[in-house]
Amino acid sequence: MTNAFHVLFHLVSTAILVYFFLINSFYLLFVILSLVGIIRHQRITSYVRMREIFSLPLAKPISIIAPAFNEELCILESVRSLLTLEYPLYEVVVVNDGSTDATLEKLIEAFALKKTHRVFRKSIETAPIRGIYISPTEPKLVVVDKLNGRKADALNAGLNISRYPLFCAIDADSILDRDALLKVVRPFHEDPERTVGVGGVIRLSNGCVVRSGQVFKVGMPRNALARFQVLEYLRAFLGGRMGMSLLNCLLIVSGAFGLFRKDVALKIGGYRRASIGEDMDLVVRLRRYLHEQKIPYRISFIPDPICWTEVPENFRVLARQRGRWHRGLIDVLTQNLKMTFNPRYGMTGMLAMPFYLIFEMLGPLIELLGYTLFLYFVVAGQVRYPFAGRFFLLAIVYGMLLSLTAILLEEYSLQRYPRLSDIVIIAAFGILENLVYRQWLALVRVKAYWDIIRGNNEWGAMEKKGFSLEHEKP
Amino acid sequence: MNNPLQIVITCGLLFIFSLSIFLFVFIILRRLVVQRQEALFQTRYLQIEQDVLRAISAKDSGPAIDVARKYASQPKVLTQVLIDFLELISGRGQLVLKAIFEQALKERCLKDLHSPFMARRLQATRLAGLFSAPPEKALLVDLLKDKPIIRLAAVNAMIQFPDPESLALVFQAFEQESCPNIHTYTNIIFGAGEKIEPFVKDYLGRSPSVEKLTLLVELAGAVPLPSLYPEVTGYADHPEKEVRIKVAKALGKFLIPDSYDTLERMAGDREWEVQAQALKALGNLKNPAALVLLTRGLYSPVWHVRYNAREGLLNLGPLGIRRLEEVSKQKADRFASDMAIMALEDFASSQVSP
Repeated sequence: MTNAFHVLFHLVSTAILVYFFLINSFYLLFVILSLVGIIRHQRITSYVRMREIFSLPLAKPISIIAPAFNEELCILESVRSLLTLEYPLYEVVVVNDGSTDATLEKLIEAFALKKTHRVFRKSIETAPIRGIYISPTEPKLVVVDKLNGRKADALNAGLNISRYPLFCAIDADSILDRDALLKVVRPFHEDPERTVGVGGVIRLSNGCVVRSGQVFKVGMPRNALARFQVLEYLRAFLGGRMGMSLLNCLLIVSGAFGLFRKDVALKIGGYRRASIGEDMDLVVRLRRYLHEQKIPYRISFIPDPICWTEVPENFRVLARQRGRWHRGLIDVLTQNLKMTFNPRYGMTGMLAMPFYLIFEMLGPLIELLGYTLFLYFVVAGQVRYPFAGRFFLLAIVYGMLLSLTAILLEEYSLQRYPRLSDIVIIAAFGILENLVYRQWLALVRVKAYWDIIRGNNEWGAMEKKGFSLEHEKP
Repeated sequence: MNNPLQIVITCGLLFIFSLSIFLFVFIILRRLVVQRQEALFQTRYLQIEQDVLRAISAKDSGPAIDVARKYASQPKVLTQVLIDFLELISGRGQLVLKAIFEQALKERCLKDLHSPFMARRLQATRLAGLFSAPPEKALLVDLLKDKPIIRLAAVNAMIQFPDPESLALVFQAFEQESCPNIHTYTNIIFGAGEKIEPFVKDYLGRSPSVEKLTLLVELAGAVPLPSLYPEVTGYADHPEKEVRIKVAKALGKFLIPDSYDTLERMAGDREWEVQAQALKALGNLKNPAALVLLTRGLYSPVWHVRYNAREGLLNLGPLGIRRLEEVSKQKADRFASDMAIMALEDFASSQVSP
């Protein structure tokens, strides 16, 4: 019996090793693809002068939809930033999703908002709307005040009220680069028939200085937890998403910054109200619908339009955020399980969905199983320490290689971190993350399963510090 | 170390570790080199900027020739300075910049048009468009058979001098272009303004594909080219909805009183998108006769039709405002009344805003 257990344990541990190599090799493949894509993108954009091409009357107008829940600390800075974007024709729809703080009051005061009797086409059912406000000084701004219904519901309300054929979903606590819209809309002009959605890069505003609604000085956050996230964001956006976009199987366009065709989004009923990961849910349902209808389409990722967002700086809030993300991932993948390994859905069904299912959704469980087995072997005195040590080192070095390739992508694409020391810090945190941070994240993500079993579907409040402001001197 | 798995892991470890070290050193060195290059670029840029400024303000062409001679060996920085100045100044100053380009960079630019590297061809095409004189445009013709992005760059360059010959070539390229790129073509062609009129006219007469027809009709409206009224109106009954929408949109921009009858007919189209666009266009015409149609539009079951009817009524001025007030007071159709109230509120706030 004991022997059978040992054989089983050894089989499982070998499977975990194989899993480890597979997951890292996939990441490496995406990074290599991304490098090719970024270099190609840079070559072309070095020629294209966005303002010349898109500042023409034929450029498609955009509605920016910004759902806001308890964002009193940063809402004004964000809205000001949105109102100063460079784009020929756009509107900003801020949806106050039943905030319990002074978000709405701050907006009313700052922009002299007046309640209006605006009628709109209720294409999607949402929580009741309490009022629609317009500003006599800022004609582009519309503020919608509604009862709380979560982010997806707020986005749907924004979709109902928006007027233009493209909508850009962003987080109300984010700041867009001034030319971000001009850049992100490019695929809609290059391939208007097929392009359905485009995502841009999300960067951390922690450590940056904001002036006149724009990130004026990019800096490295002082908080260690935020520094780990710098690298995570680099890997996720410049590595994973760019690579998947090249294979036309991108499944996530971040909720913090994504541009979509409104007509197609309305055809699938907008955002699913019950969804927790509404951004991924929308993209997966779009792909499912378009594949089933046999409509040729593209959902792309552009590596240089940037959206700056504040990330959590303490373990409690980060755990809440990551737990929610993982619950969202599980929810989306299980809701669309029939797409997985289904050739009818092309690369999405055969590559992206299985990748997310096996490596992202089940990843934390397998990782935790690996740690547990290791502990068991330690207790049972069966650890071959030279081998285990080498394997542990290999895991760290492989992780470091991936982190370095992500930094290389950043160097080739945006090079937004100005100091050489920033690069060294990011690389150092790439090594350190393997020691505690990674294991802690795996635990947090495993807890998401437990939350699902318990029926805990809470969104969880995100505590914000607000942007670090530096006003222009007179 | 006899176990094969251990050997694989050890070798893998050594390989990945060396690769990581190499990558790290490469990133740091690359960053140092890039920073050094940027600093050097900046120093040279400031130096050349001063000399170009002197050349622009000089009364003769001597300083321009000096600048060209002095900095011909630094084409990258000189090119950037010239492009930046070209965006800022006009008149004689631009001629000086072009003279510097002719002397220092033109030869290299023409050579680069046939470079095997796409990025170089792209950059050269752009420069040729910005600085060259019309005769050089002939060199760009070959590029119209190149990769899509180069074709677009060539079209963009040729449109800078929209003489009939260049435009004929551009439209010929447009005709041969596959669908994904044609929107960008129209964006570029738009820049040539009214000069495109004979070409659009000719093209509209040839029954092009629906996608191209839609864009050309939209282009005719956007410029606008009212002389193409007969051709555009000819497509008012086109079986494709998209074409009819663009026709209504274009007629709303032409503002030709005779188009009233066509738009009236389109306001009763079977598709609501066409109805909505026709109502908006009718409002643009400011013809009081449209009052009945626009009021009817306010009672449409389709939100967009009601919205455009309200826009049309607002465009009619006091007459339309009065009608909106009447509709806002009626109780039979709440949707029409809501839309009218919203229109009146928007009108009131537009009067207040600076």
